[in-house]
Amino acid sequence: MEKRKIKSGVWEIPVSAKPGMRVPARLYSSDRLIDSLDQGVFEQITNVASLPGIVGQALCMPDGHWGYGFPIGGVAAFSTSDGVISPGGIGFDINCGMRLLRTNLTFEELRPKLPQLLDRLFKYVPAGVGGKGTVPLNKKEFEKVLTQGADWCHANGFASDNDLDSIEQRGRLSPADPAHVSAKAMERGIDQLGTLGSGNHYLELEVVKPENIFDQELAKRFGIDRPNQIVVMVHCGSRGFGHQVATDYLQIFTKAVQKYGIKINDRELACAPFSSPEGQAYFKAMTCAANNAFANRQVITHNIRRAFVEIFGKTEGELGLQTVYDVAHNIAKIERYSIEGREQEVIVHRKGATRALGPQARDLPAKYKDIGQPVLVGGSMQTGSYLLVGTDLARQETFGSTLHGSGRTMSRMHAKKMVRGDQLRREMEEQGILVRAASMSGLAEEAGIAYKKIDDVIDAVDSVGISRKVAKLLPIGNIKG
Amino acid sequence: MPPKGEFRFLDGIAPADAAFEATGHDLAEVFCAAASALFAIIVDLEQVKAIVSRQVTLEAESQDELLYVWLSELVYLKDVHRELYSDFDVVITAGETLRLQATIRGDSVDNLVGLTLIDVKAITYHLLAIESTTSGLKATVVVDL
Repeated sequence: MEKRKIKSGVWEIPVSAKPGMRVPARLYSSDRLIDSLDQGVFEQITNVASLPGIVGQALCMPDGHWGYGFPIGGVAAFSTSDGVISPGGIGFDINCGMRLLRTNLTFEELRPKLPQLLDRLFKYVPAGVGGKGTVPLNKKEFEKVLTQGADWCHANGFASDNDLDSIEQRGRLSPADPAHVSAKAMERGIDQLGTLGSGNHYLELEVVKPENIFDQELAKRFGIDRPNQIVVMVHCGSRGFGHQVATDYLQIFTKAVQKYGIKINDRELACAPFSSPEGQAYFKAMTCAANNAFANRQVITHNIRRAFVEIFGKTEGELGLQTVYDVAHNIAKIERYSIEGREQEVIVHRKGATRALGPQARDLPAKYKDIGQPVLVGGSMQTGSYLLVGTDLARQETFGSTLHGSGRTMSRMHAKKMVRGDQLRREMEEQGILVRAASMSGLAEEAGIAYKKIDDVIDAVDSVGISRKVAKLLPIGNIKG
Repeated sequence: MPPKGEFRFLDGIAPADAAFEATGHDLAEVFCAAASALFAIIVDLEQVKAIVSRQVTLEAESQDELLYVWLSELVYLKDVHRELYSDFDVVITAGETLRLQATIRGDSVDNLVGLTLIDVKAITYHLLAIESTTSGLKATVVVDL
């Protein structure tokens, strides 16, 4: 498909590339990565560019790869007055996202207790198939979780004031309304609060080595303030609740595209006008799922703190277990941007893409107002993750968005043929990464060889300037669903 | 035991997820095979004993829509009851709509600790299709993991 480089790190596919395209598509990448993008990404991002009411450009981040409807790494904004909302632009795991906690511990202090700590975390944070929630809820209480998100956790002793300050939108989105959620979604989610899930979800203990800090001042502001500091990263989402909301509304929207006469190139792009009854119902149900995911990561955080306190015999305060940030990478939100010289309200879809606010952005907490938002990027469990900071250029070019991970290049089947889970576990232990996994097969599927090199995709966004490197985080212990 | 179709996993279609092809002489066999494939992603089916039994009744307007709601229903039942299923009897009748009646059998996840592989989040419409073959029918399904 025709594409031209419009500046360093950005390629554009013009509207002439495919009949029906309403806006150009833009790929954020690097000379090294652009040629390895799978063809599916080009097809999918140009399908997105053909949806009604899309504004600006359909965007794909450097970690982009083939998804359902939207590619993973896809970002698109639609007019709230004449645009659409599509579950395919958000994903089945609504508000799948990342959380980063800092600690006062150094690697040297943690190392002797690493195996016990991992065992305790594996016990307190249920992972894998059938993982049972850690907070018993009745329907009325679960509805409060769905409408209040992290606020519910705060009211029930699972969150601190600093936690709320350190979550995108303070962990509570509106207009969440359980009236638009099916009984099936309620049943699937009610017993899963505090669970990690499966697939590529994980809880990781990481070390920040001095040589992996790229901006000392910003790292310090984000709580990285001592050599070889331990941090904790969590990757998970809204669990069965969100998956069921997506499943339900995909069926409803399949009929809605016929009702509203919307032409789509892919059934997974089923959508409805944002202002229609169907569009609003999904938005309210999706928001419930987003709140459920914020609450899920918060309850997991509470249980991580319990494990650390018990293993180290110190208080939470002494251990300094504070949330650096929590951010969604599968979501749709109403935001305002200047588009073609005019301030507009849009519904921004981020599917495998992270919000990345620059300094002075309205939604930043006071503590990050002058520096920008921490951006959390999860790599493979063998190669490490990154802490970045948002920039004003992202607001100007990418609807305040950047990448979310390394991007998969090898299929799960292929990865399992290349490596056995028990062999990988031994290899990782030799590399200094201890693993507790619900499934050895699942572990093999997440091997580092199955992903793009995280350093390459991070360099791509850092070079183009839609977020900037602060620190690289190396894994030393992994709980794998 | 009556034949219940066959399945095979497809590589190169869904790198981050899983895809399979389910075949059978008729629609009921294809649906049994698709259900087996779905749970074979999650667990070694031979390890799942038929301890619990549940009845499923569903309707849809087309074959592929019925396949989508059938597999989605199984994903829902798996989560709500914390069970995995390995044995499926399916009857499909055509009237104004297509109607599926099934008995599914399996076991609690608690009896399969350490034997599970990876969980399934949802069924997708991506490449979802049922087509005729020389020996019957073939369904293609991609699931989100």
